[in-house]
Amino acid sequence: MKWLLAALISILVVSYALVIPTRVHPGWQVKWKARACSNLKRTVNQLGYRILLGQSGQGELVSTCGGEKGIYYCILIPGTSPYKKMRVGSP
Amino acid sequence: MKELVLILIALLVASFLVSAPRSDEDWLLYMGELRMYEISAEADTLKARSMIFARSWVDRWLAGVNATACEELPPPPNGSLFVQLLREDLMSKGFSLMGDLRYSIGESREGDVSDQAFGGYCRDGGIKVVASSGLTIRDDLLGIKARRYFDVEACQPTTYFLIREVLTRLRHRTIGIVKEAFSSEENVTAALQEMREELTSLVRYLRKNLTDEGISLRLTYTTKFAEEEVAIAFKAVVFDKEAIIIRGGRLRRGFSCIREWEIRARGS
Repeated sequence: MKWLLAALISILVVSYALVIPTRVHPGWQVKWKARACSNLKRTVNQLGYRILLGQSGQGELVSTCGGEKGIYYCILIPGTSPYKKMRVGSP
Repeated sequence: MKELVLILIALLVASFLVSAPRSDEDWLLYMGELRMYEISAEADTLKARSMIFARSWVDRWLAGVNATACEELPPPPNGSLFVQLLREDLMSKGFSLMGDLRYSIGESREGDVSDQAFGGYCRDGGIKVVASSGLTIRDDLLGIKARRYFDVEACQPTTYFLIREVLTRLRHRTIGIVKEAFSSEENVTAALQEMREELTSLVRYLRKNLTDEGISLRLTYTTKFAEEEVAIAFKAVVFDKEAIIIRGGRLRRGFSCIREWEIRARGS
């Protein structure tokens, strides 16, 4: 019995670790995206002109946004030279 | 043991939920919610981004006219360019942007309120930027819209308008002083002496008003005698030590204007 339980728990733990990143439930995606968007709004509105000084707060200033389809969201900051984008993820 | 079995069952149920196939209807709902957050992030940062753009525009222009005659008026930021840049970025994300953003430039007054995202503070004779906008971001696929209207004011702390006015006034006054000195005195040396006294008192008066603002003024001149004429070449340097300009990703303090002009008077 003990061995059976141990095996079951091990399978569950391993399958969780594998399943979550490969097939994320859309509800979680929404939650993460909502958090990323909300962080992005807060970061841009709080930093304002400081972005021109290279500050990025919780986000990062990038030239292109490769990972924005994931749990990141990315917006263009007109005024930066050359034009940069602010990318913020869900913490 | 019972508790352990219950936990295991709960974990099994949860794992089915995670990997359960989703229906198209569910997916559309989730997609709609995702897009809603995205559109809100775009729309709720429009005001801050318009201010960042304006600050960059004004500061870049100021850096370009630093240590020049400062005769031009500051050009308003290009609102069409801002909208065009944003439209291109949004289009790549499946959104469209409608509406416009207009900027205007004026002279700031101490006590005016400057928008936080622009980052300046208001001084007498500084540059005031006013942005007014009505922008709509639309998700063409799902029909979600976000409209944002705003009128916002901000101040660039460099006292460009004040410096420009001081230099213009100084030029006009020197013309008056030279003409008066040379018309009232027959003797050139006496006329130059009178001119010098008048200029000293004018500079002293102007300095008294400018020092409190952190602005210094220096006026120098040289005289050249040519046959029956005296040419007086003036050079005025006004330096605002409290000016702050963002250039090349750094904050730079100090802004100056240098103006030169020449006045000719009869030298007999």
